[in-house]
Amino acid sequence: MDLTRRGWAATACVVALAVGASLLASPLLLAAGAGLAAWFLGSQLSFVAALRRERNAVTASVTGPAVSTGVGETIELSLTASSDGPLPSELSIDIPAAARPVDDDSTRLTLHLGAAGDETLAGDSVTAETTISLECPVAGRYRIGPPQVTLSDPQGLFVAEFEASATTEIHVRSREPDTTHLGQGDDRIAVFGEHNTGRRGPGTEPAELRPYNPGDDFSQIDWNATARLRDAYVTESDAETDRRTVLFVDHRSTAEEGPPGSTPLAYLRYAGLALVESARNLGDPLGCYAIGDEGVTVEHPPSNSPGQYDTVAESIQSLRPTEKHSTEDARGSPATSRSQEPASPPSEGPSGSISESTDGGYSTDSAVNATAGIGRPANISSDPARAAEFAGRLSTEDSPFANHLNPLLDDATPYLHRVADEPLFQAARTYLERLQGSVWSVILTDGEHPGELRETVKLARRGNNTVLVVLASPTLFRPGLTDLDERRQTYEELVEFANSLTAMDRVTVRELAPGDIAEAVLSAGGEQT
Amino acid sequence: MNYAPDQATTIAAGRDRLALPGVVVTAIGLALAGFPNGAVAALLLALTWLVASPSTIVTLGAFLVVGTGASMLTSALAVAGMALTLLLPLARSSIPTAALAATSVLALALLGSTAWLAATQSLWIASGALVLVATFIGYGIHRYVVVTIERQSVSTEVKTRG
Repeated sequence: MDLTRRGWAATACVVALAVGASLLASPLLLAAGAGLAAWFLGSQLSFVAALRRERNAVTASVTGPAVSTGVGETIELSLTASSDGPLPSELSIDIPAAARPVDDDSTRLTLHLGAAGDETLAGDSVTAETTISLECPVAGRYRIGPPQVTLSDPQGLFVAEFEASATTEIHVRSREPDTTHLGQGDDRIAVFGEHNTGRRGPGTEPAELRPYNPGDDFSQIDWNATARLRDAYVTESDAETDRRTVLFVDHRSTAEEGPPGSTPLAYLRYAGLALVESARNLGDPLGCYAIGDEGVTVEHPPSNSPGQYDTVAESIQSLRPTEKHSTEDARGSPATSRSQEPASPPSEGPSGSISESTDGGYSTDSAVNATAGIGRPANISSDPARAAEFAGRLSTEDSPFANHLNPLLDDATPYLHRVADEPLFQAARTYLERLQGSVWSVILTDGEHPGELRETVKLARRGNNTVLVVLASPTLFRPGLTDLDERRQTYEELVEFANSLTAMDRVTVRELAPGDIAEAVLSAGGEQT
Repeated sequence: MNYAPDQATTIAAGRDRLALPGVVVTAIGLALAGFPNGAVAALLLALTWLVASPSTIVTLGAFLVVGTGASMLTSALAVAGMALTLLLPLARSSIPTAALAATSVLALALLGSTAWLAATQSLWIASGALVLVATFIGYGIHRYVVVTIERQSVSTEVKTRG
């Protein structure tokens, strides 16, 4: 229980009357002081009696969405309270810092019991409800509540606060695919498989027993089997090898179809990250090249160093669809390319300036870092994905510094190597030629450039190499299910194309799509047939 | 009478309807104390009602009664008005009779003890004792509420939509 301002004023009045009685030698003031003190304490006792009675008369409940919601979706949060007692009550809930109200900037949801002008009779139940719309830009689980119940003295002298235990939890899921179709035609495959060499040799996984042949190593003899079968047998194991996995991630502008978080590129990223995890578990050397509309944007040569998997995963997560410019612009030219030449001469200096990078281009990283408030070393030009992310942050700022730089950052995709035509094919040719030995090429693409893709697959399977093509066709990503026949037709063409690729040796093709849409399209086909 | 939210808002800024009869009686008592001092004091008290709470009105009224040098009769009328100013708003409490009874008992006890102290000791000691005793009782009630009521939760329920 606390005193309100009015309560403190009453206390001060008692003291003033007592002091005045002493100074003015006035018994009347002392009597007034005693009477006021008695009134104050009587009001306090009356409030306590009401509190004891009303403590259990207030019922509160907090209601959130029953199912999880996605990042950026609107959440309705309701606070309901009822009271049987006559004391004025106020209930409030703190809104989590990670959530923001849609309509205003309030950080609390407050509910007053009883509308203004209502006469609440003892024994009457008063119920009130308030709702607020929230938006959570960050995924996670948020606990809302408990509400704070504040009861006030009708005289306005005291308040008492309770903490109700009504809570609710909101689950905000991230924008990652939750239903995924991975398969070929009507066959669905749930998970990515593990690889083996297809040969027998040294390894840890026993494969089969065979009779001992002269020349075999004695250490290979399986003595248990020999004793059991009364002849010398050796155990052969599956040969294990380090196979280099090279990811080619196609993030051209055509991979942007669909709602945010459910685009072909989002699914390809998801698949790419799964492959990174698979390579990490198998200890395979992993490389990654990302291809935009005008060339290569990410370049990580194969390696199985400890940081390689995290670096590749981070690059894949940062990929955004690139913008397609006219052919003339694309060929054009280094003069218009931010990663090749800046619009204004570079100047030397500390953070906040455009500096020359080691590869001959120019980097705005230090400037963007300074603006973004990130205390990283200035030179991150080797990671274009991060540079693009910082450029995106800078574009939302309204400062003289940002206004000066933003025209230079219109195209936030820095290209490491510009290729005017068929960037996927050219990238595969450039980088695969440098690699020796067994390579598993994984091409993650939306399949919008079939001719180029076919040539790339042919190139990648050379030299006994294997190829996996993951196709995320934009046809299967358009929201709504109104044009199923048309989509089915497009899908059949895609399957036909995929089959033509699969017909090549050591080539596997998988289609990737949102599970619900894929199911609807496949079902449409089933009904027709 | 029971609580009405708009009324609470109004009394916080003064103009307490329930205190008005007491203010009128007090103002009449002051006005009868003499002209022009009594009339000015009555006007001042009426203006105070517009902006202040009953406790402030009573405090000001007590000082005005002493300041105007009112006679015993007019002083008694003013004191009766001040008592009404404090007691009538108690009707707004959730248990008005209990509030009135508690206030009356406490008033008798405090008035009796301070009068005895003032008669046997001095006004200084009586004033100091009044403040100390009132503070002790008020803080004791506060701690009682914190320990027995505020640290317990109200009845609640958890719901999800759907």
